[in-house]
Parts: sequence; C-alpha cells; structure tokens
Amino acid sequence: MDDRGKAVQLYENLNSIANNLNSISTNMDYLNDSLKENFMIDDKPIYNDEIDNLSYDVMDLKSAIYNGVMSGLKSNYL
Amino acid sequence: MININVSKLNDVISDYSVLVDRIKKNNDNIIGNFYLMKKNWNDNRINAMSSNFNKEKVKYVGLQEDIVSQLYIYRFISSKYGELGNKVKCNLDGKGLIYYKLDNIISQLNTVMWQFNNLGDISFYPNSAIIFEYRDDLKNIIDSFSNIRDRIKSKFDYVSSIESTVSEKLRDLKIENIVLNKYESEE
Repeated sequence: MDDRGKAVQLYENLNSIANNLNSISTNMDYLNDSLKENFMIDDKPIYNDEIDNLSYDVMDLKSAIYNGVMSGLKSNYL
Repeated sequence: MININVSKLNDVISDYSVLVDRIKKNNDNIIGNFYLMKKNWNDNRINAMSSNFNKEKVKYVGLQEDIVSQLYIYRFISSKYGELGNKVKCNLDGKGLIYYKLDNIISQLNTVMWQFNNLGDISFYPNSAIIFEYRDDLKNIIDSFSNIRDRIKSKFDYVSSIESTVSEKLRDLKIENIVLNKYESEE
C-alpha cells in the first residue's frame, strides 16, 4: 500500500475514533443528567464537576485529532 | 427517593432527645410515686392494683426503650448521611441505570483504545509521535473515569448499607401501632 493509501486508512480510522469520542462525551453528559435525577449531594449531582471536566477532555482530544493529524493528512495526502 | 436534610434532622433529634428525657423522668416519677403510695395505703385493693401496675410498668418501660431505640436510629441516619453531606437525595432504584451508563462509557473508551492500538502502519506520517500522545491522553481519561466509576459505585453501596441497617433496626422495634396511630391522628 502506498503512502496515500495508508493516509486514507489512517484518516478513516481517526475519523471513527473522533466520532466515538464525540459519542463518549455526549454519554458523559447524559450520565450527569441521570446522576442529577438519582444522586445529589448538597444540591449537586455526585462527581458532577469531575465528569464535566472529563467530558471536556474527551472533546479536546477529539478536536486535537481533527485539527492535528486529520487536518495534516487532508492537506498533505488526500 | 431518599431525601435527607442532615442539619434539619439534627434539630429534630435535639428536640426529640429532650422529649425522651422527659418521658424517662415521668415514668420514673410515676413508678416511684406508686411505690410511695403503697407504703401509705395497704389493703386488698392496692394489692390487686399492684399486680396490674407491674404489668403496666413493663409496658411503660418497654415503650420507653423503643422510643430511645428510635432516637438511636435517627442519630445513626444523621451521622451516616452527614458523612456524605448536608443534603442527600438518592434513588437506589436508579442504581442499575447509572451502573449501566458507567460501564457503557468504560466499554466505549476501551473500544477507542483498541482503535488507537490498531491504526495500522503510521510510520509514513512524519509527526506520528503525536498519535501516541493522543493515546496517552486517552489512557489518562480511562484511568480517571474508572476511578470516578468506582467512587460512584462505592457511594451507592454506602447508601444501600445505611438503608439495610436502618431496615434491620426498625424491624427490631416494637412500638405499638396504637401509640403511633394516636400521634398520627393528632397531626
């Protein structure tokens, strides 16, 4: 497989990872909603801030993949 | 849904303690007063009353002990939930849904880790090292989320254990329904 073929494959794999990360971040937000309905301490869902921060970290990772390697692959190989 | 306000519960417990002390004192006074009366009134009628009084006394003391046990249960609830916070709302029926969501997210994160480990040949890409950095970031996210999952599960376990202890303690109480019904009808 030539470099372009490898680039296409890597781009597709990273795109799938990015989509999965998007879904994970959404599920973390849904988890916080469920905790709001089922477990609150002092008017806040338990571990609300920590889950929120992780959800942001997941989205940051997704953005880094899009704007880093995927963008590089697009401009140099695809 | 369990709904506990620890500081307000403590206020009630404090009032309840005063009432329990008053009940103990009243019972002691009634019992002491009867024996004092017996010293100064001796005939067949007081002897018959004395036999009934002993039965009544056992009943008073039993009720008093149950009321004191109730107070211990309130204190137990306040102290155990107080370790979580001042206001606690928990729906143990929702535990299964939360566990499912937590495990599902872990499974999704592991799938992405598998994808990172199976990207194929990336050596052609000049800055391929950054992909390993992404993977390290994901590893940190998985570790942090696994830790949160364990702590959430442990909080649910903690509440479950409080509730089962309270159920056991309540089962042992023999407060007579007639007494409870009387108080409820006065509300």
